[in-house]
Parts: sequence; C-alpha cells; structure tokens
Amino acid sequence: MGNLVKTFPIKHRDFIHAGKPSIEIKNLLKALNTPSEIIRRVAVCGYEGEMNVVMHARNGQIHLELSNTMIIVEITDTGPGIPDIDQAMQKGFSTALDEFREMGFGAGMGLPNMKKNADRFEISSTPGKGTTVRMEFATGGR
Amino acid sequence: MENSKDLPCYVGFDNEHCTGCGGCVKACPTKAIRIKEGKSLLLVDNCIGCGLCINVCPQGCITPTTIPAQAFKETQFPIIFVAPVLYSQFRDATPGEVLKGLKAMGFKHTVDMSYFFTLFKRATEQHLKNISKTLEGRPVISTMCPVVLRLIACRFPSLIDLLHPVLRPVSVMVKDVAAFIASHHKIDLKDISIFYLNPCPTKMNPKGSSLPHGSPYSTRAIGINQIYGELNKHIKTIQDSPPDRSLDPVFEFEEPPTGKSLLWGISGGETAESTIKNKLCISGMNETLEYLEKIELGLFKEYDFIEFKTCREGCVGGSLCAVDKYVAKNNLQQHVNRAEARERHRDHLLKDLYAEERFFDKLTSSKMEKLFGQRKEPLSIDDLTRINQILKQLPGFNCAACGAPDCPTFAEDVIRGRACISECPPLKTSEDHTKGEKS
Repeated sequence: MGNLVKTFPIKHRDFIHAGKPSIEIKNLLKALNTPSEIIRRVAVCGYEGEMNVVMHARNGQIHLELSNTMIIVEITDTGPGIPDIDQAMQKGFSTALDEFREMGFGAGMGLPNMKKNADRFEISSTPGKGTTVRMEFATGGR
Repeated sequence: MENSKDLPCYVGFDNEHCTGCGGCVKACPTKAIRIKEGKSLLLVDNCIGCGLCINVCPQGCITPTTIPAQAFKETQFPIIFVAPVLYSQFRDATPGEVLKGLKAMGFKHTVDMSYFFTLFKRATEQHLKNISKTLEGRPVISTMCPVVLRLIACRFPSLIDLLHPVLRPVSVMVKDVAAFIASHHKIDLKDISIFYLNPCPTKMNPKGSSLPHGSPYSTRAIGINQIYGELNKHIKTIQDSPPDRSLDPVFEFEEPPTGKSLLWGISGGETAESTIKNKLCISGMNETLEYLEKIELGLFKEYDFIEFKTCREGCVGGSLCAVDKYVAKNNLQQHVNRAEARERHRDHLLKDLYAEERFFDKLTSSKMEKLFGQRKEPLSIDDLTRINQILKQLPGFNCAACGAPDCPTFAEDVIRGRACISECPPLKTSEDHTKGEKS
C-alpha cells in the first residue's frame, strides 16, 4: 500500500482560486470516508495556510501526503518570511494590508487556528527566503 | 449499475426519446446520471431531487415522479398543502382567490404552509438567541429547502452539525392538521388524503411518506404546473360570480397569507419578516455548492443564519412552477403591496409550543442517513492512486462523450467497475490515429 502524494500551487494575491486546493483535499478525504471532524480540521488548516500565502508570500504550494494512519499537509512559500515567529503565533497579531482586512481576512487568527486544529504543528521561517508550515493529522487507521 | 433500482428516484427517464446528448449528465450536481450505449440514462449514487435535469433536457425525457393530477378526485377527503410559491403564479388573483379556486376544484380543505413557516421562523429566532452566548455552531444553516438537506447529507456531512435543529415545519404540522380536521368533521384519519402542491420534484418521495414516524393517512405530491390550467379556470369563475360562502376559510391555517409571509417562495423570504439581521440568502445550485464548500473551509462563522435555496431566486425557480421565475417574483411583490399585512397567529399558542420544546430536534448523521439516503461506498488510498493514474491517461477534455460528466468522475467509475477505460471516445480516436501512423 503506497501513500497518496499531491501538490497544488498557490499564487500570491490570487483570491479567485484560493481555497480550491483545500476543497480538492477535502474531497479526497471524503472519498476515503475520513471522519467529518477530521475533514473539517484539515480543511480549516489548509485554507488558513493558503490565505497566508495569498496575502503575505509570493508564490507557494500546498503539499498533501495521505497514508492509512496520517494526513500530512505542508505549505511552503517563497515569501518574505516571518522575523518573529512567537509574535506571529499570538492571537490577533496580523501584518495584513487594510484592503485584505476589508475583505474579511487578516484577523490574526490564521496561525493560532492552524495550531489549534492540527494534531501536530511545526513552523519554520527564514526572513527573505520563505516559510514552511507542516501539519499532521492522525486518522487512527482506515 | 449496482443499486440503481433501490434508490429513491425523484425523476423518471424516458429512454425511448433520449438522444444521449448528455445535458442532464453535466447538469447533475451530485454526478448521479450516466449515459450508456448512446441513449439509456442511468441513475447512480444519490439523486437529491433538485430537478435541474428536468430543466435542461431538450427532449423533455425527464419527468418528476408525480401522481396524475386528477388522482385526488378519486379520494374520499382530499386536503391540499399549498407551498406559498403558488400565489406567485397568478398576477391578477389574490392569494384568497387562489385558495378558493383549489376548493372549487374539489379539495375539502386548503392548508397554507406559510402559516407553519412563520412558526418555524419564530423557532429559528429562539434558537439563535440560545446559541448567541457561544461562538460555536455558526453559521446556522436553514433546513427549509429539502434539496439542501440531501446535498449536505450526501456531499457535506461535516456541516450536519450546523443545521438548524428545528424540525421542518411541515413534518411537525401535517400530523396535527390531519388530526384536527378529522376530529372537526368526525371522520377517520384513514379517510384523509394529503396532497402537497409543489414547485419542485423533491417532495415526490416514491417510497411514500417523508415523515420519520410514518403516518396513518396517505401523502402524495402534485406539481403546480400539473393543475395550473384547471385552477386558473376555477379562479376566473370565482372572480366573475357572486361570492360563494362555502369556499371561505374555516380554520386559521386556511386563511391566505399577507405581508412578508407571502415571500417564502423567493430567496430571502425566509428571514424577510424576522429579527435575524446578520444573514446570507443564497440561491441557485452552483452558488449553493460554492458556499457550502466555503463554510466547510471555516468561512462565514461571523454570520448567524444562512438561507439556501438550490433553485435560482428561490422556489419560484422550481422546475414544476408554471410561470417564469422573474415574473413570479414581481407578482409576489405586487401581492404584498396590495393587501394590508395581518397576523394570523395567536401569540399564546406559540409560547406554549416553545415551552414544550416541540420544534426542536437535532439532526444527527445517522438520522440524516436514514432520512436522506446513504453516502457512496468509500474508496481506499490505492483506489485514489489508481484514479490518478487513469486520469493521466485521459485527455482531460471533460467532454462527457463517455457518458460520465467529466474525466475525474469517469476515472472513478472505472475504479468502481461501472465503466471501462475503452469507453473514452477521444482516447480511442487518438489510439487509432497512432496505430494508423505506425502501419
């Protein structure tokens, strides 16, 4: 039994297609009959991650790996990076532009929300190079 | 196709006149229809009774599974439940005249469903008040449109928890109304036949009653367009004759709606007369799907209530309506302006009903499955990998020439054993072409 691996590109400022990769991931999990509660958490994390790339980074990708016991979602980008990760992880901290806030995004809940919903959450960032967020979800076997 | 015979079919297919154009295959939001051997239409997986296929079929081969319009005349004591969208189908007749017309046709009583929808609305306001202390459980999704319920059960099970935990008004009230009428006339419940006058095929459940508890009386559905001509004639006669007292309303729920109670048939009508401010009213199948996807991504949590109607503009866009949806919408607004709004409900009755908590009923996944059908057989990770491999071989035109709506669905059909990869015409053509070049 092999793992299923898929990668979806994310484009900076592409609000029209943002969310499509997360929807596709969601549909794969539904086809596998993954419990709804896990699908919901993966979808929320995927979407928050996508929006971070769309708003803050340049380009990026969302990488999905499915095994019988684990869902791994890794979002990498070639953006400006995060100088102070501890600060970025605080609820309500946001560097989003006003125009994005007007659109209803950038409330500073993205990263804390991802951490809350994932079973395991890792973030690493190099200023000037980019950011990687890796999230794991246990499915308890299929 | 496995299981296709056991599934509830809200629509029927006329294979003889089907040209195999595939319009219905592409239109189906749950990808339930396939074309095999050029013409035979087959239903797989979950039909949710939305009626989109009926609208797109150029041959008129797809029909809702209704009963013959005249069937009610053979029953002893027919009662008709009227969806409020009916009033929108008439420009010059008042709602009161429309209800009288139904009685003149032979229905013993008419029940205006918006009377119960108003109770539903009050229960909704109460529920939102109860959950306003917490931030969970938002946005509340309306359960008024049965197609949306089936869509959520079949494609968005994680949203079941957000469904408004109030029994759909008709399920609560049809029982009470039947019992009330039976005791008023001192007749047996068994002698009562209930008919729904519907704008869409979704309540045409061939398995019988849509009530979870079963019912002692029979319930059947008639499409508005099935009786429109006859009803119109009776209304004209009523308008031209001296008043006939025998057609007047007897009960409170027989009285015609006024004011914003008339708007239930259009998108936004559900919350038009309510105190709910922070709401979104979405209509149309594509829009419904798009917003359900977004809610599943965690969006719109800041909204209290979301009203979905899968028909564009609401029930006026239903496939069994007789009149154009935009014309119907204008008619309704004219009716609202014409008559002074009147409250039909006695407030103390409502308060008693709340105290009994009689509207509240949490829809759980298992209950949803029982009511709205099973979900698809799950696939394995290996299946998904094989689907990906097949997709790489396919041309990716999503042309539907194979009889499936798009390449990913065709690939899934191959894995599920419902189709063979050689059924892809563009793939076959390109293979033949390659062979031709080699020889």
